[in-house]
Amino acid sequence: MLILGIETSCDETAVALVEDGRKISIDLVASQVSFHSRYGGVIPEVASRKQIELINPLLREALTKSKTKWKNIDAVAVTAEPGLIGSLLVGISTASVLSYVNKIPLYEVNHVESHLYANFLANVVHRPSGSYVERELQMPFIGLVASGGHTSLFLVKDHQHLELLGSTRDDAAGEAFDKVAKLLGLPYPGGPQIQKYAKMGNPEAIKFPRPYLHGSYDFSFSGLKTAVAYYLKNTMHDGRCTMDGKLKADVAAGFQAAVVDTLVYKTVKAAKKNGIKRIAIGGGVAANKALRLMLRSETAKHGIELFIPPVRLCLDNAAMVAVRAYFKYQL
Amino acid sequence: MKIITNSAKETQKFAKGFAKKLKAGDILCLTGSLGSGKTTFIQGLAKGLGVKGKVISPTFVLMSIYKGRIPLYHFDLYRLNSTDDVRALGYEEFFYGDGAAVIEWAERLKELLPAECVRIKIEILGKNKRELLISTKSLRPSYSGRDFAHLERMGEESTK
Repeated sequence: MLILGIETSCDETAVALVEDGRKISIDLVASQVSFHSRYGGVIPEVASRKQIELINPLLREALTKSKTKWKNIDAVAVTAEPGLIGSLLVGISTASVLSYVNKIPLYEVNHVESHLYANFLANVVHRPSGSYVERELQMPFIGLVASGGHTSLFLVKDHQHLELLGSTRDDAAGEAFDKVAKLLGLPYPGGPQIQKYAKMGNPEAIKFPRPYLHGSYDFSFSGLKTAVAYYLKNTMHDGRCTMDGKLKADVAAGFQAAVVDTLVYKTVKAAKKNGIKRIAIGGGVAANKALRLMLRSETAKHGIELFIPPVRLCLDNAAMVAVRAYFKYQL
Repeated sequence: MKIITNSAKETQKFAKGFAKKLKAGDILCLTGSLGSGKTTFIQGLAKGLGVKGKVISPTFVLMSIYKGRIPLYHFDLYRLNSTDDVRALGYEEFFYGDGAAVIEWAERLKELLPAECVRIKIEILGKNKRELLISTKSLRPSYSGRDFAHLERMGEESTK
């Protein structure tokens, strides 16, 4: 079963061919990050116009490079929601036409759910003992998706039922990274920038609040962003500090620690409370090294198996879309 | 009018009262730095309009629509730098329509800022203390006859 995946929910244009929901034949992403960084973010109109330009050449490249013929492709999978309307439309229209012309079925999937399914492509598992083994993610598991637009925690019992335990009440985790980067005068996207500065800083130097929201699996990162803004306003106003490298590094480190602590605390708690022995994560924030490191040590402590996709599969891609369709529709 | 609130909760409570008098076609323009509480204010506003469910920051999607007593069109122009980008968004379809439009980072509208809108400026006074400056006067001479008499003085009423 060879599935063509198409993903255009935000600022990337991505096409992939995946065999039996596990093996990538080809996985192409035309990133617009450098393009959008000029604007300090994603401009929807600009994003969808760019996607229209990119999608057809990218499809051609995918088929040529993987030496695949249309007659060998069994189905098309596309991200149908959530995302920027104009961007989604590019992918859905393309997928619909391909399905119609090639007389193959079309399957729609949810972008956030797809992020968790990147884990089926990456079979390397970090065992609590620290060893690496090749193993497939099994049900049930707790899934955390953290990205620029989403922060959601799922209890996944089977491929049809992804129960949403909680989500953000205000800002997404990745959005908080972007906004704090902006406060520090660092360019977009904020995640890699914060990570870079955090490495040089002391995470204990400034203690930012941990928005745990006890009694709920929801997240809230707006207050943390406000705390950073207020801290900067205060220290700079007093003239005690200027926005130098050390201040940036310490704020980045303190902020990153607060986000990581919160995400790890809630995810591990969800696993323990529901008696689940597996955690899988996905989304752009899952590329953050501090988050990966802390999740590894915390899950090991509690005897929980951890599944993390390689960094490139944490970011938006089309392979995860094909995988999600393969399992959701039992193809 | 000038309102001081001492917590996010108080800001939401004020906004909730404010929402009670909103009419279809009203436009609220919010300005204030990162973390001043614009989304917080709108969360209260949504509650006052009877919106069910979460109201989250639309920075990523630029605009969200919520169903309440009247529709609430929640814009966030944070990511936009030029008025061309704002035009491309097709924002004007939602102004002066069947619902209330509320705009975060309204200063990015520049010359597109509607003449008749309620301007709400939020200042950070302390860790949780905020000052809300609310102006209902038209920016430019108005010929549409639209006014905000129904919104004037309501700040004082809702904080009572």
